[in-house]
Amino acid sequence: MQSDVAFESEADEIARAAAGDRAAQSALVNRHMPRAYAVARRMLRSDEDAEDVTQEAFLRAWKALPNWEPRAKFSTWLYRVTLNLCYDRLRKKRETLMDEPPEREDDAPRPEQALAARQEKSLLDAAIAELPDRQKAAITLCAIEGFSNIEAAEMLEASVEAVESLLARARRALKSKLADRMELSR
Amino acid sequence: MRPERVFELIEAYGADPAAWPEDERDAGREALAADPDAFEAAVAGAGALDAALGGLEVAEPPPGLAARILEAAPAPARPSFASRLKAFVAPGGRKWPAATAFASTLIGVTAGYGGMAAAATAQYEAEAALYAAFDTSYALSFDESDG
Repeated sequence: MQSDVAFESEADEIARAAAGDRAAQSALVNRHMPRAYAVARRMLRSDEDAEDVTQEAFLRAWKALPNWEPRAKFSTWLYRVTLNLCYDRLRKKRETLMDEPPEREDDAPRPEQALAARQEKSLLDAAIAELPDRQKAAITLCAIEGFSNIEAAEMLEASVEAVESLLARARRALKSKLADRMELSR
Repeated sequence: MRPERVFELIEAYGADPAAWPEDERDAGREALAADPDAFEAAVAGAGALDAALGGLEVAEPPPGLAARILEAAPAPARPSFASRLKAFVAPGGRKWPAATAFASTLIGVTAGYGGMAAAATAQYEAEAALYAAFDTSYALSFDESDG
């Protein structure tokens, strides 16, 4: 669903999308949806949840378009909303898990045993999933999706220094968890 | 750049200066090149994690997700009667063809009527002159026969 329509600026594209121009709406979706989905999938580790969150983020975008602040960047806004929706889902999942005690706790595999059964990429996937939410978001945005530290700071609603701290802690944690299995030096 | 800062950058952003903050990239590269041995271990450790992170599969959105998102997008507002009339008279904001066609017709009809009226007047005057000539010759001949 590629669009060849050129727009004068993002503000022009957003104004047209708000007015119901399907070409402008498609251009926004084609450009930002795959990455928003990938970020949500990395954060939530569920296809269904990632799809729901991506749809919800765009639904909020469509509602916000008529009153769009011209200085706001669509991508920053969209990924910020996507991340906040992910945080909400993760928090609710944790609350649900705390409300439901495990039936056979003694037989449950320990995290180390579960990790040992996976391949290298799955190990890293699992290690990222175990990071605190904000560290997970920072490493996903900067190290996997390739956003700059400034872009990530805007999306995370944090300072550049805070993002750097999140990244450093995330990388230390990943190296620590994976050092034995992936030959990463500490 | 201080060596401590280079270590901080490696620890946060990885071994590749291309991933470092833009405003510190050049100075960081120079510091790395100036004393590569000092940063060798840190670069190797971060590089291994960079490679692992770079090899992760990026999840592809499911088919149909874009279409489902677009289904919920704002629809174009229904145009008012005034705007539809304007679009008919001056499509795309142009003053023609409908407006121009109307104006041309009006000018044509007016000019045509004027021309017909002028032609009729000229014909009437010519006929009147002819009749007058007949009358004169008749009068003259009558006068001569009388004479």
